[in-house]
Amino acid sequence: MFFAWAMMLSLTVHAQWRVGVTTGADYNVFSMDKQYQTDWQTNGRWGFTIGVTGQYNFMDWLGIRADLNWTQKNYRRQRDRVPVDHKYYNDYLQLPVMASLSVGGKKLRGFVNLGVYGGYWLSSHREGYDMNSFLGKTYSFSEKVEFDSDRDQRWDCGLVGGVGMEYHFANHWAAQMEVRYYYSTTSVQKQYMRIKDYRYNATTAIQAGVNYIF
Amino acid sequence: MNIIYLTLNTMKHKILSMLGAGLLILTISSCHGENDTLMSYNFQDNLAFREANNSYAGKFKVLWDALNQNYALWDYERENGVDWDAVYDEYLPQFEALDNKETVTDSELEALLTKLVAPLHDGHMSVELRNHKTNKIVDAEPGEIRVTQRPDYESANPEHLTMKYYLKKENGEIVFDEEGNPDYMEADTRLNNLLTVFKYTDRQGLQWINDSIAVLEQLTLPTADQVYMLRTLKELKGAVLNLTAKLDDIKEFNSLANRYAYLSIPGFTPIDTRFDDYGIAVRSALMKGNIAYFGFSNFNLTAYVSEDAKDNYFPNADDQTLALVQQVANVWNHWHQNIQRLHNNGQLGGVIIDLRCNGGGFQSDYSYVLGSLLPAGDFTFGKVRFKRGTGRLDYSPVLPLSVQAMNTEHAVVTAPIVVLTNCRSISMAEVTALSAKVLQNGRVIGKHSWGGLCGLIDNSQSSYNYSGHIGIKGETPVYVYLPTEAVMTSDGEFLEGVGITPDIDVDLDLTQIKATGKDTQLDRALQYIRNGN
Repeated sequence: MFFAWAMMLSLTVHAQWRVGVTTGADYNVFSMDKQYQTDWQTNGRWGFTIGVTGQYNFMDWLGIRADLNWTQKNYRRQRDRVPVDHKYYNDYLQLPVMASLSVGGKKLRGFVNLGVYGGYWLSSHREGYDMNSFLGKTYSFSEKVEFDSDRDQRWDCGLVGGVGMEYHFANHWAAQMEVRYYYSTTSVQKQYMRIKDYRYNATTAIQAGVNYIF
Repeated sequence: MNIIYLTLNTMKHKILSMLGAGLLILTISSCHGENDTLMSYNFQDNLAFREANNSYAGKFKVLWDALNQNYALWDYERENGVDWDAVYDEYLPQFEALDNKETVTDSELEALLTKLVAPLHDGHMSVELRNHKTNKIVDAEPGEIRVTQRPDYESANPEHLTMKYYLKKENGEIVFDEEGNPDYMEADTRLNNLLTVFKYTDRQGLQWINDSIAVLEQLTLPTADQVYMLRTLKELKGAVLNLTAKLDDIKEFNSLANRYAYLSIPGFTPIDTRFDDYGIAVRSALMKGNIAYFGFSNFNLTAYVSEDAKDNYFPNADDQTLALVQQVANVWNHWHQNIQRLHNNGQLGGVIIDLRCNGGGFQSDYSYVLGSLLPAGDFTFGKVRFKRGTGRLDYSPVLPLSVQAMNTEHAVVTAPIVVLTNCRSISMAEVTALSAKVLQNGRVIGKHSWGGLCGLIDNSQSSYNYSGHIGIKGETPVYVYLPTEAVMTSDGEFLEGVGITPDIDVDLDLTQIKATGKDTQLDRALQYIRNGN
């Protein structure tokens, strides 16, 4: 009882709220088993991420952080043998919830964020070109990808971690640079067949943010 | 001292927290699912087909897996209530049960296969399983199962589609010249016809043999040579009489033609077996009202009328083959030139393209038929998509469905164009009809077509699409003739298993056509062009 009271007192002493905005670029890697389709190449692609953040520090080195961000998880699929190039643009709304641990001085601190995230696949678009082997012609395309409720898993969750630096450039204000990694543990494809076929995103974001510290 | 201890303690907490979190990530990072390993069934792959060689359940698994990966219409099948996973659960035990039986008859296997594939909508699909207990192949075709149940199937018989009524001058349907010859041409290079020509042409082939036998049998005192000749002709007659138009029989026919060439029997020369692939029946007529009619059995025109046709399709052909090729080309030219002449003179009443009982074929034929009436270049009239992954619902983007119109100088026809279809108008016949429907001056008249618009390329191109044929015909224990692409209308509607709906639905009056040759569907097309409704 005394220990719990001591902890609460300690937390209250160090309690500190902060809110902020973040933006940056991300690089998504899409992984799937191409099986015998050996000339298919799946490559990562850059996208954007932007969001708002809120953090509550229990202690000067430990806090809990939650973001709400719009993050693209783009990728590209190409073939070596025939002219096929599909560039996918996928928009996700994500809510990472992380423990934020920091070390350093008053002005400059390093931090590590670790936690989990949940997300929702908002939309998908693809463009590029594909070949009609009947006509021997290549056609370019740009189209919205319609979600298929049997196939597409629009809910996403996984692990998230990040490392970064924070600089307190003014009273109540801090700027952050962070490299963050979203590791999805949810296949973007539901197991709609008796054949198991899992496909995952893994996204590295390089983001900058500004926080207001209350 | 206490301050130093507290600082160290805090640092320890931080490091332990970070290590713990890192460990958590490493632990959870292995939580990705493991995929099943798939095999390609596009080729003769012993590993892929091994279980299918001596097991009915193995055949079923190959068929199920291969269709799961290669079939381009799974979303359409789902809309139509096909649950392919449920099919696995329902049918695997039935095929496993066959493995436990001493004997499995072909009809028993065929019945089960038919029940399995009947709900699928692809109009080209043909599934073959080798019954390893009888070493015979059984097959099932969902399209045929479906179409043969249609009420208009009986009337859709190519034998009905003669022009005999219209060729009678007194019926006043075809234009006749001053010498009384109808403006009509026809040619037929199909093996069945070439064999019929051998068997039933007066003073030629089999008739010559019959006549010669009759003469020799009349001789009261035949010479030894005549006796020998009589015996030889009787042997030959016995050998050729029961030959059919199947390729193996035609090869036997050719062997006999070479063996008995010394007899110099008129009309008994080898038949070019390339007509097995490229055979075609064509007919062209100029109907009253300057309506140019063209009918053909399948889309093999390219092999006859394209610029390098003889070199590409009939290299090293003998004179007989070249003459047949020219006959077909002449019939098409007759139709085409009639249109050019009448159009340029402002006299063209309309065009009828008769695709009834047309089994489809080369896409390139489009430019010689409907494409010869359209402006040069690509003509887009629908959409197409390919299978692009091993997942059941992995498809390419939707691409334009286009065909190439004639690229040499020609008249662009603005007069009414009617395409005739029936339930045996298949594949390119349906693609042509679909394109006619989007023309302002195009109409489709007749009955619903077969419902097999999805395109197919031979195995050699399967690596382009990782779909198409499953296995190798006659070699692998499972073989499926399967399209690589799915065709849809410009509105994104699939017509597989449904076919093209005619703008004017007309039955073929069987009683009338059998009695007089009068063709109610052709008459309706003529009426539409002549009266505009």
